[in-house]
Amino acid sequence: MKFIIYIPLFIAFQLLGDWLKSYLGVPVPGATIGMFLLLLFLFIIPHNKNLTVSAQKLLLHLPLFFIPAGVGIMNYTDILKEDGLALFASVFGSTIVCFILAALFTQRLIKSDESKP
Amino acid sequence: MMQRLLQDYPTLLLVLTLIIYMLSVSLYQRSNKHVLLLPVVTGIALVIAALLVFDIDYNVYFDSVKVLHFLLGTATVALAVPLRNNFHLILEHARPLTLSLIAMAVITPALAVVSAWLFGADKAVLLSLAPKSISTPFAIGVAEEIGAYPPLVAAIVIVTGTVVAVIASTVFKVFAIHNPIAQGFSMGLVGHGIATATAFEMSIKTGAFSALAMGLMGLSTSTLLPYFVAWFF
Repeated sequence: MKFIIYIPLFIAFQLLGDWLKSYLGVPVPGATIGMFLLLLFLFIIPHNKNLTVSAQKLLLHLPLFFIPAGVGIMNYTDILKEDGLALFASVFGSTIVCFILAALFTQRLIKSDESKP
Repeated sequence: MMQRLLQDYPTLLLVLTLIIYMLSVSLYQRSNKHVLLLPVVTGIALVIAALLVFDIDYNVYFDSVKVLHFLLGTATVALAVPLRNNFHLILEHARPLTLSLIAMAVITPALAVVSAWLFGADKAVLLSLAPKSISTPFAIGVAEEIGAYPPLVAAIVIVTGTVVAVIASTVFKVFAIHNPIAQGFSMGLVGHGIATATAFEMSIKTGAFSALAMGLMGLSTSTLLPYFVAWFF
């Protein structure tokens, strides 16, 4: 159960990020600022196994945390009817094409970089 | 009766969400991890179904599950831990990953807008599609900046992430993408947090690179997109 004590550490960095975001007025989400600050912090402190376990347990339930925002789709059925085909082409078609491009491109680049001396 | 109960005690909506999530996870595991039964897909679908059946407004629902939405931010911060643990690999592949990021930061929003433009979508819808591959908090910030509809953007972003999560393993098989770094990085580039959740199921390493790509893509797109939009619209 030792991993529980690290959750408040993540929350502290999250709140710090939120505060910095509103203080600096940047268009970057507070949680992302918090993530980069925690990353810096992790280079200062020694490696901690419980911290790793704690992050893993939290990240395991990432799908749960997407539900509140995701359910918001229910309010957009009107636009779906009006511009449905265009949305479908973009959200499905272009996403699939982009994803295939990204995967092929990244793998190719890594391979050609590794083959260099 | 159930309807009255849920309306009088909105906390029950939180309990309902947790029960639905647990059911979705066990359904997914029992189906031998069938891609169409990803917990995020069934979870969202079942909650929407429940809200429609019991006639509960989305705003009422969101208010009662705010704590889960807050934890999305907490989990985002926790992504720093796998990033730290895989940092040596990130440095090792810094050059190809940077090139890939730059290419996709331009191609992804451009293709998203062009494909919808071909089908005659109006300007606000086109603008709402541009940030579809970056995680919700980034996308909402950009949406306000460029004059798109923020809630529509959130919906588009979530569906996009789900599409990537669902097709990922098939694409990797068909196109012979075996390198976990390339797998994770591409999932994060195009499918942000939702695909990252799936990437963590493949392996911690895949998840770490997906988290990295998600953060970098969010940062670069949200900084660059307002300038692109000013040029083209």
